[in-house]
Amino acid sequence: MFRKLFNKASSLQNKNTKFNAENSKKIKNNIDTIKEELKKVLGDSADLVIRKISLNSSCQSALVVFLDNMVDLDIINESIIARLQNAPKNAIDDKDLLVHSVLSTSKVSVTSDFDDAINQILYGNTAIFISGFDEAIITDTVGYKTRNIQPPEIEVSIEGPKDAFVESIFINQTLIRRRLVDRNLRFEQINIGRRTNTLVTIGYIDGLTDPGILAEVKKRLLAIDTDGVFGIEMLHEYLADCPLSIFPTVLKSERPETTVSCLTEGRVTILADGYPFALTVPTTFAQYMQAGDDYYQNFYYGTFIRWIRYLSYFITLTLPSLYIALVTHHWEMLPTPLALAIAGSREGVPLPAATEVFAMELTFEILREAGVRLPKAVGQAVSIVGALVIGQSAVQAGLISPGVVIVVAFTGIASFTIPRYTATTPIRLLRFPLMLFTSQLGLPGLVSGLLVIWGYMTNLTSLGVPYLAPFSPTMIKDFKDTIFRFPRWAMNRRPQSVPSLDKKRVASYVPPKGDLEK
Amino acid sequence: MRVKAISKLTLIFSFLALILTGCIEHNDINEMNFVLGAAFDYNTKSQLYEVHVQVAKTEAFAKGDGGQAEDTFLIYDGKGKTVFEAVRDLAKNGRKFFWAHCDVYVIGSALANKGIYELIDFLFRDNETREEAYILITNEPVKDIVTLQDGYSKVPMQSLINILEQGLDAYGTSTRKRVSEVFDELLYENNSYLLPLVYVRSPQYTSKNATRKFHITGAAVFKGQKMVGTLGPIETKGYNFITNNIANTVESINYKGNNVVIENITAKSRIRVNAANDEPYFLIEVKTSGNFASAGNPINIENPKIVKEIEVLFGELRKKELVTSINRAQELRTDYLGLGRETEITDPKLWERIKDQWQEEIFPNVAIDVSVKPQILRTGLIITSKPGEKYVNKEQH
Repeated sequence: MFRKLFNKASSLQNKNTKFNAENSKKIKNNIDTIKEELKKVLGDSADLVIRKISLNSSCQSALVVFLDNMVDLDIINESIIARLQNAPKNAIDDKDLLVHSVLSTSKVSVTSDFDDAINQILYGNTAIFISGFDEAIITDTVGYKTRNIQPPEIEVSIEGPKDAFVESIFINQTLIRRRLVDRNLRFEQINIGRRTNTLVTIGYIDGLTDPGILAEVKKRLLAIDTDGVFGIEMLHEYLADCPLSIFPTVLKSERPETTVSCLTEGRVTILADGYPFALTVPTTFAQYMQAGDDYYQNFYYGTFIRWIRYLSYFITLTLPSLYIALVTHHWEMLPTPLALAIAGSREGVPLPAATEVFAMELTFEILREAGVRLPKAVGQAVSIVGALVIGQSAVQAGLISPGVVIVVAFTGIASFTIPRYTATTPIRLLRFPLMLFTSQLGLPGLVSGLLVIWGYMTNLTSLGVPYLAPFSPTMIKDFKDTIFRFPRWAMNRRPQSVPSLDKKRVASYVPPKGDLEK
Repeated sequence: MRVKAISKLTLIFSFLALILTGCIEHNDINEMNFVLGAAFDYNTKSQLYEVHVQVAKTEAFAKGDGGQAEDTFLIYDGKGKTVFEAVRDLAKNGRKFFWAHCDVYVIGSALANKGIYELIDFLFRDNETREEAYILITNEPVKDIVTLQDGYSKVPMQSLINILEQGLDAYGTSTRKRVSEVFDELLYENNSYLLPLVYVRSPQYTSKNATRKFHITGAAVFKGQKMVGTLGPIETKGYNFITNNIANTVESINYKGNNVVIENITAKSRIRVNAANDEPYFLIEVKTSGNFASAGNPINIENPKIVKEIEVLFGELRKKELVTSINRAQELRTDYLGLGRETEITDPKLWERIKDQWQEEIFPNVAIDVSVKPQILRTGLIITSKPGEKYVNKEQH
């Protein structure tokens, strides 16, 4: 049913793509008409500035149009208006001379399309209309305030670089380019959103990224025809192979170096203006278990900590269900002292074990959400109330058994070890149906539930790449950087799971024997 | 697509299972009686099986409730014409009895004399009872075993497991058997085997609430399903050496008026079967080695000759133990040493001919040679406890 709805929606999109081409308008050569048209299109917006100047005190006049606060006024004053007013006589009638020798801004382009000129103004550029010309000169004067580069807040790392993406797409591109000084790095720009006109760039390494993947990304992004881009997750929803998947199939990262390493593996990155994240495709499940710190620390430790993460992922998903199974069905599987301790602590607790765990897991989710939503100043209160009320009072009052509190707390803590926040959301959701299954069927219920999840994950793809690669299908060589973290010189090939044009990553390396040449 | 179809089907079936079995009966873990020890006996007057169980009182096992001098366990009993009826009779006392955590069973002498097959069959057949539980025999009244409080375990019969699993390794005068092993023994017709014997003992000095203690020593000799006699500590130790069940034990040797103590460290035995004229004879080789645990009123153990002499005495002592055990087995006409099985393995044809008269006629008179290879390995951490002093027996050499 959902699939049908989707098909309908996509066919609607195709009809609307020609919208822009039909309405394009040529620029008139009369300044007054242009001014009227500008007023008609942009209205009496308070931040619209239309400055009329005359060139070299002649009768030749020009319009300098820009949006206040979006531009750097110094550039406009000194490099545009001052230069135009003092333009040499011979340049006044010659557009090329004006562009090449009079204007002293770095980026200048010429357009004859009125809508294009308007869009450029909206992005913070300045359009110059000169009487007698049927073209507009666009100069780059973007100068709005952007947030400074700050340390990452979600993907925290101990020994990694301390910069994260910001809202400005240009700064984000810089962050990538600074780390990837490669002449083949390409950023392709498109606009998405009929109203928001959001700048979206597709980044890739030419000659490395598989052209098929690149073409598919472009196709899917260009097919988006909607009001606007609100959040980078929206692009994810359009990019995913399986739009209804509960598991994220497009990697979202706020760390530039993560994006850079993805690029060098032959993946494609997508940035959107206004959102401090980069998407990379294709994505595999194993990537969600990799943190930057794996590579900034010793590789033995990196491997160990990765195993801990896989374990935590499994614990988050199954521990509450396992507790329910053991306490309500399989009492013989617990070691005797543990069984007695649990039984003893449950003595007098009014709720059945399954209900208890369910309620506590819900409470934990409520607490977590409350902690996120509350303003920082009040945020402390949640943890105090949560710890005191739920953790202590409920146990002391005999409403909840201590074992359940331990299970819930441990599940919560285990979920915090996953380096990418989006990877924990599906397991946090899925443990509830698992608990339901297990409370009725015991361990067989848990196992069948896990099998369904496993089967589902096996079926997922991200731009054609199997989501569970390299585990299923098995690609032994990729284990070097998934369940293990080999030294960098041993990872001599790019991931097999991602198609790329150049498979080889490092030249063959022989570790030094330790005896120096004399 | 195929995978998709399969996962969809699985999903549907799982949901069906969930909906259709919505009323599966299940209890929470605190809603049942955990049996942690059971004693079985047979009342010869009323001809009924009796079962006494120790059940953990779970409140006492939760930390922080400050359980003051409260009972930590409860005793229930049941009677019935068969073992299972007796066990089900328990349920009249309260909640469901859960047997999967019960890992020790004690069998009273009346039942042991009557025969334990029915009991073992039940313990092995039932899905809740564990086949790795230990089985012990007692000649004491079962009441004494069940009501004993040694102050160590919250459920006292659990102490038996500690003795069997840890204590036993340090003295070696008893043995241990699990339900599954007893079941294996019962598979052989007319088979003989040993089960540990548990006594109740009142120590000289006790703490307030623990006036009596379990004491496991010696063994009960079973022939088939019936108990036919008991073994003392030394005889059981000999049995353990022959069947490779022991490594660590203590021997004291009188060397020229000095008590020298040897701690046995390793032991290895091998039974060789020879047959001549349809009559097998056996050679039991035991390699035994130990360390000095104390060297008496210091003896010069730097002197290899003296060590050699002690070694020989050590071997003789060991040999005496083995012979005592073998003699006792022959006297009881029970081949719990497993010589019959060795014969079957080495010479199946011979075994076919003699197996019917084996235990009653042949085994009691069969020739069994014992050869012991003693070895003393280490001196312990010191050579002598009196440095600079003259050795007591120095002048003798």
